[in-house]
Amino acid sequence: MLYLDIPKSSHIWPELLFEEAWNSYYQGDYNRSLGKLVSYKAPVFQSYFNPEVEVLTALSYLKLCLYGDAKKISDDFYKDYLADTRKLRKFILGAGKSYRKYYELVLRYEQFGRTQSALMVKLLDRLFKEEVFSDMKIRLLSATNELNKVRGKKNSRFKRFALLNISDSMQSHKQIMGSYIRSKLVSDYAQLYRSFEGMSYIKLEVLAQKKARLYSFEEKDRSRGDIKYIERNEKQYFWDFNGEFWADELGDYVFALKSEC
Amino acid sequence: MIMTSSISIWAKDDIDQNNIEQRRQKIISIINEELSEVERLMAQSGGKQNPSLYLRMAELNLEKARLIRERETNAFMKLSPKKKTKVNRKKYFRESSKYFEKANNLCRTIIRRFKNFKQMADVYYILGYNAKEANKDKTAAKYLSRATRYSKNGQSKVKAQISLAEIYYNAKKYRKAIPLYEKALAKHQDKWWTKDSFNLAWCYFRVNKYTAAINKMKAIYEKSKSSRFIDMRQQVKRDIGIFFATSDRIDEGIRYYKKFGENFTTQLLQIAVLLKSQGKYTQARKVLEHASRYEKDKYKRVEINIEKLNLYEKYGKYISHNQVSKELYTSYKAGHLREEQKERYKYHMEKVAALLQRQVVSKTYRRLPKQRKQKANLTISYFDMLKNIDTKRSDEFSYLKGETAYAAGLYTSAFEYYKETFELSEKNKKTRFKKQSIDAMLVVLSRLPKQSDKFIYTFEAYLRNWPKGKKSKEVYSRLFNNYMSEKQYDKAESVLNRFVKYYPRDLTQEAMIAQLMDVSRSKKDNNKVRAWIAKIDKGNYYVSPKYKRKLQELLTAMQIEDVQGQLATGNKKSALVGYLDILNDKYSTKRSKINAKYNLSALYYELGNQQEAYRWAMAAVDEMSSKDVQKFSPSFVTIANFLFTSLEFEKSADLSRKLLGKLCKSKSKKRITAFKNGMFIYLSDGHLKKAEEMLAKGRTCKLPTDVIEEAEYETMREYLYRKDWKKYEYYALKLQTSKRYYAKVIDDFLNLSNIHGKFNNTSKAKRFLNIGKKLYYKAKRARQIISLRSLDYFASLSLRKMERTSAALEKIKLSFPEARFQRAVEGKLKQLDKLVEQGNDVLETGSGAGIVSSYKLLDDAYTYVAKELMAFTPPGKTKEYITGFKKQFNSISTQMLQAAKKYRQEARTAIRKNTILSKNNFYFQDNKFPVQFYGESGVVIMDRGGK
Repeated sequence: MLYLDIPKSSHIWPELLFEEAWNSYYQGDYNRSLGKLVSYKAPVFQSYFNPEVEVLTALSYLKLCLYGDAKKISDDFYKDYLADTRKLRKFILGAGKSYRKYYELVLRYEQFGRTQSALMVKLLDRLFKEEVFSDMKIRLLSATNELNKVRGKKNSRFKRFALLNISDSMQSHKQIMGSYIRSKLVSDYAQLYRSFEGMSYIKLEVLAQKKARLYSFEEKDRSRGDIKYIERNEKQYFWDFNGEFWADELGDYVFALKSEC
Repeated sequence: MIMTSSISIWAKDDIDQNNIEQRRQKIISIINEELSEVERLMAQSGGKQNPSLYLRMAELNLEKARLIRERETNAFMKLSPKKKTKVNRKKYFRESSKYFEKANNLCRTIIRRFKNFKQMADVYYILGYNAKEANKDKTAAKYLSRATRYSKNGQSKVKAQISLAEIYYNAKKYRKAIPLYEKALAKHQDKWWTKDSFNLAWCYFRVNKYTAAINKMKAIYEKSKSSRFIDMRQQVKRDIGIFFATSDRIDEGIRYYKKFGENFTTQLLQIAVLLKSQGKYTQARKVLEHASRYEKDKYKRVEINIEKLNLYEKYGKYISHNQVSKELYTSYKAGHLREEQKERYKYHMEKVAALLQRQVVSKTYRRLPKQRKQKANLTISYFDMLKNIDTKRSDEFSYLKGETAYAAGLYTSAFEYYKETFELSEKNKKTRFKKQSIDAMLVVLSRLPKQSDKFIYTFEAYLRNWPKGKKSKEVYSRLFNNYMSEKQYDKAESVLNRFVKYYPRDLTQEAMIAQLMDVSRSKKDNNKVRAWIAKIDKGNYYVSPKYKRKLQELLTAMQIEDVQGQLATGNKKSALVGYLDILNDKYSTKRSKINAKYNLSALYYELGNQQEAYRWAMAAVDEMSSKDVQKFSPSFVTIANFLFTSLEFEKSADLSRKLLGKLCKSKSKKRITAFKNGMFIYLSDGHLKKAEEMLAKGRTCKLPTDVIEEAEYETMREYLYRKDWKKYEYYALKLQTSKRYYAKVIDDFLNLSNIHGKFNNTSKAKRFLNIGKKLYYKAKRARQIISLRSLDYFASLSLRKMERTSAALEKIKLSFPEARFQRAVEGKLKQLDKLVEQGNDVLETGSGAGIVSSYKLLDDAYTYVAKELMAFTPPGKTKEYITGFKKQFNSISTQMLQAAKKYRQEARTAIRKNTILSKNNFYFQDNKFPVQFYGESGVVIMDRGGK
């Protein structure tokens, strides 16, 4: 259990948690997979955005034949992200390779806290937390400081040369930042696209299953959340989930849903 | 893959239609979601290039189409048959067709664009399935064959094979379906295996592979025990029996059913029903016989028997049907039939009874009396059982028995059944068949040989229930007649009294009373008769006034009969006393009295008593009706003759006159006899006034004209004798127009002419003479015999002319010269010719005296002229002239003398031939003795009566 040995404070832990969830899914432990994925609902992960978390959640529900839940995840996903994704697509298509536009998008959000959609807010917030982007921003800030300092100097040929040089450098840096932002957004869009596709197939499967149930007259009442449905190992304990997330509990939640298959 | 799923597999009996519709709607909304999801996917991923998404869309459209089609079909089936024919089916199924078409289009797109698509088998499968749905089995088979060919994975292949097999199965191409099923089911065993194998088993059965079919069924039964498969055990249980039965392995089948612990009788019954529906009568019967043999449960046996009824009814085995019905009737009586079984049992019997009854009534069996009777007996047997089972309708079934028997000509039985119906209706106080049955009994009676007890029973029953009514009236009469013929007179009288109670003013009672009185009369029970009359007088019975009178007469008639009895024994005196008693009896009717008077006259006639015979005859004729007088007229005429011969002329004539008065309007010949007798007796007896009255009566009675004219002629003659010229003239003028009297009345007109001549009434004398002449000529034309007197008279007229000519002849004197002589001779010859002509006129009259006289005149004239010529000598002439002259005229004279001789000869011949008696006859006697007749007219005078 190597994953369990990595401390939760590690910055790679959220990614590891997702991987753990997949592992549990592949092992057929869908309750555990769902437990791990529910950790992403904790406020600490507010800025963490991975649409595949939703896809995996829906898949897990699907495997448990909890079609309603699976469909709800799928529907919520569409509800939450479809319009914003379209706006994102539109923006990407509209901006093309004009990196400055991406830079300005971020700049505008940073300066005024406003952007085109909630999804964009989420994506940009996540961007801001990235070390690469922070580093780039620091460097641009240093260049700005330097530029201001040079501007405080008397006018001279050097000053003009230095200002021009720093400005060029800043522009270039902004282009680089813009390019970075674009690549991030395009990547996010691609991930969203895949998620949507996945969600659609999940939804189709859910619908097919629901239909089959209607055909076969099987509409059972669901009784869910029983301890007996949890598969455990020695490092796993039980706590009741009371709607609050405790940092030390994150990643250790396990659902107790009865499979309705 | 959703293709195998279908709403039809929701076949849960307890799911009602609403629930199904709700579910269908839910599924359709899911499919809609799926479709929009697929479309979204296509839009997201440029899915137009993804054939899988096309396929998915096609599948979804197909599924949606089928669901909508089912809904449309359900709605369509709910329409009334009338609406179904009117509705546009294409329009009705438009929505589902749209989705089928969409699915097809998508499949075609895949075939066109993605030739190497891996799931092409599924595409063809959809096309095949759609074609199958559209009843295009040929196309469906084509696509499904391709699907089978293209499919690589087992499931798709199996699916296609089974679908194709189903097409063949439905098309009854079992031999083609079998290998497909066999291949598919050998490879794959999903939950549908049992269901598809079930079809395969039926395929085996259809191609007569009974063992394979039974084995397959057994395998299906075993597999169905597992929840992995659709449970087809019920179907196996239902159908395997048919396989056993058809393959003639019934015993094995029964053993098999026993293994289930199932009630195999039920299965056998089902099998029998199926075999029956397939037209396999013998096998069905055999199965039912087995069922009967094995089944010990009495209720189940009833069930089997009811099924037998069903079978026999379908195949028209009515005798067997009847036998089983009787068996069931025994079971019914033992209380082995449940209510529902009883109802079915009744239904079958009623149905067959109705069928048979229709046959009995039909024309077909009229000419087959034996068969008709057999069918009628069967029918009656059914109705009899039904009557005892359905007691509420016992009257109806009993009535139907009667109707059947009647139709088959079994009238005695029919009567008894109708009677039974009537009694049941009376007992149960039911009205529906009461009237019908009694009416039917009345009809049947007319077909039965007379059996008074049946008649009396029926009529009494009828009157007991319907004492008054249109038909009741007739029934009273018939009942009365029956009692009369049975000599139950008291009962007949009771019928009369009942009749009188309800029809107090109906004259039918008169006839009844008459019959009853006749009985009393035949018994000579006059007291009873008098009692009847007294009751009628009292008003207890209503009879016509005429009849009332007749009854009064009856008493008298009885008296008359007594008198006639006396007469028959020759006791005329007692008879006379009896008749006189009748005349004096205050109860005697007019008719009786007349009768008595007539008989008295007859009796007195026989006794030779003219006075009494006349008296009673006159009284009888006076009072009798014309009809009766006519009837007894010979007797009256005889009595009148008797009176005449007894010289009681006036009495005789009076009786005749009275007779005529009564017979006046009749056509009897006796009235002429009476008229003539009376008339001539009155004339001969000198009662001219009475004679004329009788004549007037004769005219009023329109007696024949000849009779009247004869009487008038005789009356006229009577007036001639009495010299009553006025009356004489009156009757002569009256008779002048009568053809028959032209000749007879000539004399009378000559008389009248003479009479008026004597009285110097020349105009009248001339007029009557002229009438006489006219009548003479008319009589001549009519070749009537005219009296000698008349003939002589008219001959004398012509003779007078001849005499004048003779005188003229003699006046012409012969003298010379020659020319004068010549003229004189010519004048004489001319006068001679004239005389001959006039002589012919006299000859034509036919008067003997005239003829003789005319010959005499001619003889005289010719002789005279001949002699004169001979005697004449021309004066102053020469001898030669004279000789020549004499010679010439002597020959002429000789000829004239010969002519005179000839006239004399003719006269003699005429006298001899016509026996003419005339004064002038002596002229022509050969001996020349002038003997003449001398006598005085009116020497012997006799009157018409010879007195």
